[in-house]
Amino acid sequence: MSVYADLLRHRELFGSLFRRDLRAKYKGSLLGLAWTLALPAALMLVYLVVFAVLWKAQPTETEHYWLFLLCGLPPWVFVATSLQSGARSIVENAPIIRKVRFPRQLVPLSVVATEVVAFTAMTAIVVVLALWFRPDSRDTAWLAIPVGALIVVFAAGIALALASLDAIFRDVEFIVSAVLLPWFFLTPILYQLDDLPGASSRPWLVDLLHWGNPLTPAIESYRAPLYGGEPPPAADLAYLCVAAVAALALGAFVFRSVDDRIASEA
Amino acid sequence: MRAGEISVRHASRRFVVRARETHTLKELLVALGRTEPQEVWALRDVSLAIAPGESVGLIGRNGSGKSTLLRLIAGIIRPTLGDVATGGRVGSLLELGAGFHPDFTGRENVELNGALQGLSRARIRERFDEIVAFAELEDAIDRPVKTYSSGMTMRLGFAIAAFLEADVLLLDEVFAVGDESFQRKCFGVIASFRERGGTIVFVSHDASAVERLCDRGVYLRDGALAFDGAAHEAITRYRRALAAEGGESANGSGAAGSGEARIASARLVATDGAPRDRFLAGEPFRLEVALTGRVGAPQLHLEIRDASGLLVAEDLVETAGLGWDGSGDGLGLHLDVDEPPLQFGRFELNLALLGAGGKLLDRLPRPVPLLVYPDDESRGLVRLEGTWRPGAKDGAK
Repeated sequence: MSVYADLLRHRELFGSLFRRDLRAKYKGSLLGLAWTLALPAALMLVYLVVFAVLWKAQPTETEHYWLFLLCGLPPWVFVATSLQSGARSIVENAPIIRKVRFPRQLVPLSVVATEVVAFTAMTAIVVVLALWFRPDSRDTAWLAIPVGALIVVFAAGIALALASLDAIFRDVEFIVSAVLLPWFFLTPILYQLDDLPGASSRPWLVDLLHWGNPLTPAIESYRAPLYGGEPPPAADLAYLCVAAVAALALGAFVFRSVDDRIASEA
Repeated sequence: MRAGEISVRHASRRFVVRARETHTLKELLVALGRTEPQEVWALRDVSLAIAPGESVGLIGRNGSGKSTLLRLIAGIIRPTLGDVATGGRVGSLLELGAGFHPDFTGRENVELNGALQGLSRARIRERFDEIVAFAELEDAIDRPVKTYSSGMTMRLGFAIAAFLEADVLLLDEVFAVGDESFQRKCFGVIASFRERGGTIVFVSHDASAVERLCDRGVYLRDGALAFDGAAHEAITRYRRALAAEGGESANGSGAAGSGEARIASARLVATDGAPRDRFLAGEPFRLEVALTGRVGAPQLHLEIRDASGLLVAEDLVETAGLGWDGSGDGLGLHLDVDEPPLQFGRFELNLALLGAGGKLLDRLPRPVPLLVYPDDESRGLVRLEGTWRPGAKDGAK
């Protein structure tokens, strides 16, 4: 786990990289850092208008469907953007990596950290909305924060693995982009998995979508304390914990096995 | 391991090179089974022990493993076999640019680069003004680095590396750009770095820079250690080997000639007969060339190019008229340039021997360097040599 211990030892460097990545994202734009907040807010608004207002999507009898939708979005947007920009990060920083010795795993981790800023902003928005419209959630809403932290850990591990692989095979970043769209629809963000009309006749499919997709337990755990006003389901939460640790281990393993090739091939 | 100490024990480094670069999965699948990945040993069983405070110059031809060895010492790559250990903090300036982000300002790049090389933010802040002043970038430090010239980028990179308070300084071809006055400043900083007991490993094609900066020279040949000892001795051996293998290597590469006649040596000398590569603007110089071969009289082709590759002057001479007899004894020639029209810059003299029908017989493996610097304030590539005179008032109309 020294791959991650370096994060502590080199926290000043991590801070510098983080600030650089944050500024680089919005370099040259008028609003600058304000985009960090404006972008997720705009994104949430678009989903709201399309699915909840225009389409009036109401797959099931869901009260405050728009809030249900918003409570599933932040983890998805965070994971999707982290994996996408994380996967490219090592290749994009090749000029530095080839010329200076430093813990290279900080590069994708710092990119994930910049996405955490937007994730935090989105979480703040949905927590406020949940507290306002779902009085039940007053006791449980805070649980979304530790769940969110687990999701960050999960995304960091996967992003590190993808970034390391991308240094060897440039396809990885395109595969990630291609996989994200179907993944969105396979993840219960717009709908509740168990409530779908076709679910009762094919329970195995529901189980597959629930446990075969690590993001389903993540989103269920995140949404339950906000929209449902109840603690995360134990099984989902346990799954998420295991997934987060496994992702970290995977990231460290992949990074270690290609670390030396990164400098000679990236 | 003491700070500033470098220990390289039986280090070898292998790179896997495929016929085509396979950077995508599809290419890998296509390449599998068709092309055997080739293994290239960039470095073979090299052992070196460098004590704190030593300054070591690495010399050798392109591809001899100098940069690989430097990257191993920097810890950027690991040896395939053997081990490499470096004590203390390492400051490195490898190739140009030091990994600057083009969209960021000089200031932001100094902060990030300092952090990458292990300096705390507080220390970077403290030394920031010094770095900027040394790099002479006071007016440009808040502009994006992409607007910098290569000389400005190099100055900034060098300034960061030099003011890092590193124990070991690794420099790769840092003087390829930059003007004479900045080079002098660099030499000054490097000298004071040495006085403080810092260790320097320096790679350069410029043998005179190696001689000035380094006590010890390490000559690498095809990835193996060919000589390790006094700097001037290493340079002498390297030059001798270059002269001896000039023809042989010329045969190997496609761009070079057939080798039926050869340029045995070429050098610039000053009026006093001493070999030199630096001349004041207008100072006469002589190009001495030695040729060998048993074919019909070839033509000697001379090109003078500046650092950017611009052709500044060209000449073609029939050796028949200068006493070529093809007996194999060789022929010495010299070209006297009494009033060189060059004013300021780094130039390269390329020499080639052409046979009947313009066939390339031999090419000097490395151009002869020529540095011209002005004795007054005027700049520019060539000397104008004009004269101002009073004229009629409406003469310009």
